[in-house]
Amino acid sequence: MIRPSRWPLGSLPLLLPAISITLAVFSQTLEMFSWPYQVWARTSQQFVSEPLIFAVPLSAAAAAYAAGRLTGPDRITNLASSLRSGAPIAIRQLGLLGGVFTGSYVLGMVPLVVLTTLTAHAGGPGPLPVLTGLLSVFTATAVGYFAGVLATTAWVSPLILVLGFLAIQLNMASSGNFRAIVPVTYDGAGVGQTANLSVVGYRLAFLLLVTTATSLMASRALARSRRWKIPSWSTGGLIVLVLAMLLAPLGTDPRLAEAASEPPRTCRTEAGVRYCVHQAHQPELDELIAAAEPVYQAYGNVPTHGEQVWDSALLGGSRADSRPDGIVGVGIRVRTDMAGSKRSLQRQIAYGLAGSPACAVRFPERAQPDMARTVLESRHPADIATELSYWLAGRAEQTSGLRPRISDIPAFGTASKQEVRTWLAAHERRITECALDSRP
Amino acid sequence: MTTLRLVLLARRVPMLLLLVVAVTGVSYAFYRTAINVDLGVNPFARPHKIPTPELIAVVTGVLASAILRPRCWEWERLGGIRVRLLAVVLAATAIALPVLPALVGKHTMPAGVDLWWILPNTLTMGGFTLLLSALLGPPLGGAVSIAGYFALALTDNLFPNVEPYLPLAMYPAQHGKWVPALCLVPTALAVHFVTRGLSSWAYRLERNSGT
Repeated sequence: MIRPSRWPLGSLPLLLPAISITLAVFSQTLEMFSWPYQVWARTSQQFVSEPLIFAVPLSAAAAAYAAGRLTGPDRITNLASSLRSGAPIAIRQLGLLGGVFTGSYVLGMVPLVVLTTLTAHAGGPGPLPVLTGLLSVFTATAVGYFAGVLATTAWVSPLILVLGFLAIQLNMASSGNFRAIVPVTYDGAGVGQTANLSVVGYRLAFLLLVTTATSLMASRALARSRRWKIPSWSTGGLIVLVLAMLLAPLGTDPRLAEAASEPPRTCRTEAGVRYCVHQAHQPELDELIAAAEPVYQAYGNVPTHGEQVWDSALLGGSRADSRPDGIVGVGIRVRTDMAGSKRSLQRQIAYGLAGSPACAVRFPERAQPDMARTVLESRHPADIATELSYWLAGRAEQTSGLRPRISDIPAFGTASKQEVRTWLAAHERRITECALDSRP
Repeated sequence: MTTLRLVLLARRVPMLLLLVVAVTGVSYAFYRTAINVDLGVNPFARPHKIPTPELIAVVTGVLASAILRPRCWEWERLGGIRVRLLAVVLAATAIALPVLPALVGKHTMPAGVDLWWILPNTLTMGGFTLLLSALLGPPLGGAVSIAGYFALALTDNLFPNVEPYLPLAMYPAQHGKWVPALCLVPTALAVHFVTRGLSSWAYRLERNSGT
């Protein structure tokens, strides 16, 4: 019996990569499932991070395999003399491959998106990173298909697998030189930030151009019996355009994210200190207050430079030097390790209360010594501030009953609590200016 | 000389050399990178790192086994000991050449990082690939080889204590594992000697002509 077949390879060359992509993508999101709640900004960003590292090479290699098997010049499916050779064949095959692989990528991400819909506190999905992730998988498919058409052998697919892994990790291999082109980076828009439209738009345009160029060249190659020939003017122009877009942003340092204008926030005033967190981090507010109180207890009072404690997501990810005065910024990370998160919050608040941000402004080139002992022996104002932050965090650690880590550092030697507090009261001005020159 | 030249051309040796030069260049450029394989199922397992040069070496071995496959199989059946020796020499070449991309950038690594364990890994994978390419044919052998390589990475990530029982040394290894390499490479060469590069079962599979 002759049955009409649109896909002569059978289901395995489609099914196997599709299942692998779904499983690999799903497994890369598993880590976030242990979080107590999800954050839309992180979920959207996940579309252009680890899951892509597996989805892109797998879909490119699978497309190269299919094209290598299907599109040889001697295959009955696409003889050059056939009426449908060229674009119709390319559109049908590439559409099927791209649709299946992009679909399996989406399928792998669905559980995380559903979980985020159920547990996130604010915001919604970011369309740009999601679109970039989906388009990347389709682009990879088109590039792999093109390579298979030109090679006329499925043996090119292992090479494409390796090259796909290398291409998608270009940013990691080159300290971010290809951020404007290659989607996988680690500095996309986080909580309290929005995507920088010009850079992300450039990236999307580049992916679209590569998809168009490779599918166009593939369909042109399919329409003749010789796959390789000297490129025509239009093909040459396309190649030049792709190369130009690839090379133009090299050497620039594009910002992928910018601060959101009015991030939604939740605030509460507790014992004279105003605490604010981004609404997406709402459940952390109680924890932040609980972590901060022992630090303020150790300090003895609420100093003017520590009257407000803000989630750094509200400060637009700005660095210490551009922070408004009187606000201690703390970076909040969603995680399951409560003790570790409390410890980290206390350290950051102690750092802010000790005036270290002012030191970062006053001595921008100075690097913090690696060894705690070097800090204790130094007479530099920044190191005295650091020692004060050790002392504050150490006291707070003891009050909170955490296992001693920072309190093991003998900050301020044998000085008693009362001595340090008297010294603090006398030196508050010097702390805000990073001008400490003595120890208690 | 003409015969030798024809044989080398029939086995596409120039193509192989071209491939090795290309992948060695790629491997040198990306020598310090690795692919993290972490399923995240076991929170205590560290992510398994696949060093890029090792992956490139494995793929080079698979492609070499395909490029060097006998294309005049029926004719080579008629040959004597010289064809058998030629098959062994070509198999040994296919096992040995991936060492080049595997170790090309070793001198660029920091002093504390020792990568000699990649050498036995490459030989093990090369021996395995060539053994399968003679028995099952290059397409099936290559697929099993690459799939097996990734399966080992997954196994290492899923079961934290399984590493000593795996045939390959895993990053960051202290010592290379030479025993599998010393078993697999001679076996592969012996199989190539016996089958002259491709078993008749694999040949029929490739020709789609049944057994």
